[in-house]
Amino acid sequence: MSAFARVRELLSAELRQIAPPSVGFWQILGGLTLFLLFLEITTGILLMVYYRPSADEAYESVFYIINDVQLGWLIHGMHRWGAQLFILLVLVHLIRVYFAEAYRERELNWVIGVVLLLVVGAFAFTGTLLVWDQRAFWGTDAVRRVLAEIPIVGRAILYFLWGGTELDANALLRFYVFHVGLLPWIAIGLVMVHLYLVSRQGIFHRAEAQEQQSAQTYGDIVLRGLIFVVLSFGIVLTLAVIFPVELSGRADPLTYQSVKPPWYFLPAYGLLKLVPKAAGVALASLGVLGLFAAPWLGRNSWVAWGLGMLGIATVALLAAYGWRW
Amino acid sequence: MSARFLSIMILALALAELTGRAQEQNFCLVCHSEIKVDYLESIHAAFNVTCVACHGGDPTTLDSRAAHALEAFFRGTPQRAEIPELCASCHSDPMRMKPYGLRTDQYAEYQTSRHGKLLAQGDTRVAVCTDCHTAHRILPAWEPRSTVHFENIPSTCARCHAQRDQGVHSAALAKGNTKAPTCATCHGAHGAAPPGVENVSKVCGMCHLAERTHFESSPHKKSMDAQNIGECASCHGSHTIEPTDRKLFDTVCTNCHGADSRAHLVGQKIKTLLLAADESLREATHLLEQAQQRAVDVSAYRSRLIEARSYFLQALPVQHSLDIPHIEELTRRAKSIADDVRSSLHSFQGVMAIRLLGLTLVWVFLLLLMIVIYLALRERRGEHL
Repeated sequence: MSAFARVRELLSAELRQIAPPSVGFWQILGGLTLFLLFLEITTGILLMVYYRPSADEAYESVFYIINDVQLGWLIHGMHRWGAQLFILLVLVHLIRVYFAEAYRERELNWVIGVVLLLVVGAFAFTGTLLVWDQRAFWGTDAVRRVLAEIPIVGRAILYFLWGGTELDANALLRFYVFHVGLLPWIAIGLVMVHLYLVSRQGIFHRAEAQEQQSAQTYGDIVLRGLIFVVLSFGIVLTLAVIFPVELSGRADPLTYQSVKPPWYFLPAYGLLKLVPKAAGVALASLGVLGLFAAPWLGRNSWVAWGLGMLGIATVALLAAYGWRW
Repeated sequence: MSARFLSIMILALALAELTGRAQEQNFCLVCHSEIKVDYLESIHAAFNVTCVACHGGDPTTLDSRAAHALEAFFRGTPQRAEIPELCASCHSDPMRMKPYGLRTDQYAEYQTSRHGKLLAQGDTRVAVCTDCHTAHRILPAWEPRSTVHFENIPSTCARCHAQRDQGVHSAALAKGNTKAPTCATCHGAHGAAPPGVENVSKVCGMCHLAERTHFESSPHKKSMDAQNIGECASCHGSHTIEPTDRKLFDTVCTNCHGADSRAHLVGQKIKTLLLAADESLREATHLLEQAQQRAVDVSAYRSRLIEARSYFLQALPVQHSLDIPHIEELTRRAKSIADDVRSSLHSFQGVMAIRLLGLTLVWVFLLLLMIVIYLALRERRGEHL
């Protein structure tokens, strides 16, 4: 038997297995994020063909991509909008897993999921600067100013991420290396471990649901997921066509421009507006630590629900504050 | 033995450093410490031109009387009237200046300047070398801290002259434009003098060459020279040159011409032509930028707009000739291209329409694909429509 036939047989055997009856739309979200990661990697590779990661050429190369390369504007738009949807779905997936208490007995996978969330945030942050326009430059420089105020570790972080204490060509090159050379491998590795653990531990379902007779196989779930994959591809495409990416002019270190962060960084922005910068960073770090520790903090269902609601309310209020100011 | 010798050497070197190592036997700075920092920073110190070169005396002794003795040719602080000649004793000597690649005609130029002429008449209030270059902290002109660095020239001149430039030139200079003129560009540096009325256009024309050429062919040139009216300055001012604005046609022309005169009408005609072309160009540029930001391919229009702008830029100096047909021709070309680009760019909405049509077709395909998957799903589960 050829290797191809063997893989096919294994795959069809997997797809024929009976899935729990409670697996529905919300369980597909995780798979959708996988598709969006694939979309981001594909469009990212296409953009890499024309992108030049130097301060002298970065903006011009992006300008060239969206103005002169055939369908370059569409690929760039899909990469940008795909990233937005990717972050949104990762967040929704995380919230669903939390409130379904699907992390129970799957603590390691929860921790990997939270690391993946941070990696996605790092993708968004490093990717923003690569455009090297005014918004990207001053948005990233605002973060640099925050880090510079953190005692002891601030400068070390700056030297590691920025390659110095100023935002310049060094930082652009480093961000590029992180964005295309390091983070994708971390993300792919974590996703593989995440999926392996899901397949090993099985999809979470409540005990009462297990008793019901299931009529669906994993093949059905994959097909249902494909419908949503096509739908999300259409949504990304539509957003890229109707709202094409607008550049804000070449980055000019001498002309300051006040920049609001993208929606996913608004809670952090609101927090930093509300409290001193060093304290804000400490509180945000505590929040992330809390997220890691959620499976242990929320052993009791009521406590988990209460903490979850409190966390969401806090994040929403901070985002609203950040958006307002 | 060798360790002791090394220690003594280090101590000697440290002492030499403390007392100004570069200055061979220059003990002047031991007592005159108030000028030590200034002097050691100067170009003279760098090339070992010591105090004695200007002040005489004996710099090798710490005995104050011997150092300042007349036998040692001690000269003390030179009189203001003596300073140019004193500096020239080195700076006009080609043999001495040759190794440094410096020119030697500054003193000759100075003597032809307003400053030099007044000094020769005994007026010691005028600027001498040290007023501009300082006495002890003389830095080369390329050094940004130098008082004669191009960015510092306005403030150096303003120490004596209240008439400081506050127009476009100083604004450009403040922005770091290295090509912006300073006081010295128009008035000269060592041969500083106010340009005569008939020479104003020549001075301005050093940079504004095209404007000068067209002005000289205009009816203004002859009549202004005849009536002794300052050429460029009569319309644009001298030290407070405002950015060129079409409003000048409303405010300046009437200084000499009546509001109902034919000459004023010529001015208004030029203004209208330039304004129309300028507005059209601005609008087209704005639309082009907008389209670029929205990822619309505008490469074909970009080069056309550059062509239009070059016609307009040609028209700007030509306006000084008052040659209406020529101005009309250039502005008409600029405006027609800009209008053409404008109308084409207005239709970038059309590009959006094509994109939306493409999107609709893709959606039709995606919906069909979803239906096919749904049907396959139902079939797998044994359900039938």
